[in-house]
Amino acid sequence: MAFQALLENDLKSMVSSWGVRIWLGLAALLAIVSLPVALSERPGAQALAEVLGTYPLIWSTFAIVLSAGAVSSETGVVADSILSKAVTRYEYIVAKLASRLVTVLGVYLLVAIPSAYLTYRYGTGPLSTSGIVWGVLLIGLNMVLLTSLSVTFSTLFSRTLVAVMGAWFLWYMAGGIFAVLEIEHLSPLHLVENLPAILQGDYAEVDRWQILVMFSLVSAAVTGVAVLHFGRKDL
Amino acid sequence: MSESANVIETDHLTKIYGDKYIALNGADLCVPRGSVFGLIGPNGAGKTTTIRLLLGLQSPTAGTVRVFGETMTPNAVHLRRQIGFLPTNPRFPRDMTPIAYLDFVGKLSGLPHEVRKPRLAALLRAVGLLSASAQKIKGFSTGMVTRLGIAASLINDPELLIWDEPTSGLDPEGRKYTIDLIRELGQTKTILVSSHNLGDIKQVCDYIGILSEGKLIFNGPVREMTRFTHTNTIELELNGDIDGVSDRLKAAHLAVHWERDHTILRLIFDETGDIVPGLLQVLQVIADTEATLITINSLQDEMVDAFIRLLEEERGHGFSRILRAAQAGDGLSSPAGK
Repeated sequence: MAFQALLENDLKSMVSSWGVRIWLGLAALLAIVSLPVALSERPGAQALAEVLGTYPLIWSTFAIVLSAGAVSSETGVVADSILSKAVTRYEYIVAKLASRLVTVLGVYLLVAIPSAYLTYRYGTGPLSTSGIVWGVLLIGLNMVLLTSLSVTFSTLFSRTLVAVMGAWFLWYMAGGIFAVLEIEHLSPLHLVENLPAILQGDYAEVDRWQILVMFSLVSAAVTGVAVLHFGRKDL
Repeated sequence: MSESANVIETDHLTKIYGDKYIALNGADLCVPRGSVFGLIGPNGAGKTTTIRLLLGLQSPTAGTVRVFGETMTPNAVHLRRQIGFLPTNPRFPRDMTPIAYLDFVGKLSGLPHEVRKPRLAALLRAVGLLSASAQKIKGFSTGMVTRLGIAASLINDPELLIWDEPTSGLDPEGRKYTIDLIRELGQTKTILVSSHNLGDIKQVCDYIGILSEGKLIFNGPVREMTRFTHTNTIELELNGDIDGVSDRLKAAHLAVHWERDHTILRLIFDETGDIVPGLLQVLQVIADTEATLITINSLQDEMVDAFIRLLEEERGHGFSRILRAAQAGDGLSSPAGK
């Protein structure tokens, strides 16, 4: 019951948040304006890739701001009014993570699914159904990774600004870090660059699965760090 | 849960923040079931740290915390379900109304809808926030926020209440309301209430713990504190020929020690002796001179006096206390009685 109460409460605050409303409005507006033009001028895979690619590259900033403040913005309030009650640390942090994931994926899917359908229906050039599903899925997983990372930062730093800047810096430096580690294909930029090929179904299946598994594993790992750290943190 | 005589027991409870600051040092705290326990100490003495450790919001650096006979941990939900906590200067979600917040806290406590709703309405009425129930918390005054915190601490009908500086920031009316409420709730619940102002809570506590610079220097019944008081001292305020009184007192063989401070004559009697003969001697000397007796006072309020004496002794003899404890084979344990 405590988990459900925390999740409901946080989701309500997300839905009523101006940040979420502005993000959804801008993302929808950009898609509505740019997709028809792109579909008339370029192949469907390219047009959809341009819409989906805005999430890891542009809208990621909104996702970071919303997620990196999940815990740090409640410093003080969380101990006084929530964790002094019959609530475990795990219930709290998992509810926070779930709420931010639902919000970020909600904003993403509200734009991505209609855009994918319109592209499938009216797009030209090579485009595969499984490729569209894979494209939407991998960008979604990319946003899951970003949200998990940001929530983890919000447990590590008590100042929201530090958590936001840390997550933002790491996200946009990810390409360089992955290049050094020789796993460049996991970087957001690499994913966006290869999105047309994925949507066309031309991307190697083994690489698609590798990205899916790695995104899932890294998301699980950073979530584990958040849960373990917050579970032992002094409040 | 254990039905032990003590609701809260700590053993050598110590908290050190980042190897930089010792907030609590070997505290052996004992809160008997059904008592109103006052945790007293100056600002920065370690009261809030103690409370956060009791609630499992922080983990001890050393020592243990047992609540209802079980070890408190960050995830000991079944223990916290029996505790109502009022933080000092409480901060609540600002955009919620009191109804939404109490409903949320009720859900966190696992209360079903049919219990939660009537209880939150009754509590809002009891704390006088019924007329403000549609307002957002961000528009509340300090007193209103405290009253909401009191209601939130009672929503789960807890067996143990922990209130951290409940009178902080309140006007006299608010302070009286809170003290009266502690007195009323103390009839059915165990209450631990902290304050830096002994005057606020001495009227309602039957047990007391005194913290000074992270050290629990006293833990026991209020009546035990009287042995630290200056009950053997009386002050006489004089007017007129005070020098004449002094001269006669110097010449007389008195059953009392005395000292003069301008117009004040301070009589210090033996700890165990009867004060009447000595007092009569001095009054007779005053009557025999041109001096006038204006007032007679016993020195200060007993509990406040004991509190100050304990703090002064702790600060003055901290090192020798440690040596005494070590010689007694007790390591660095607290001399505070259990």
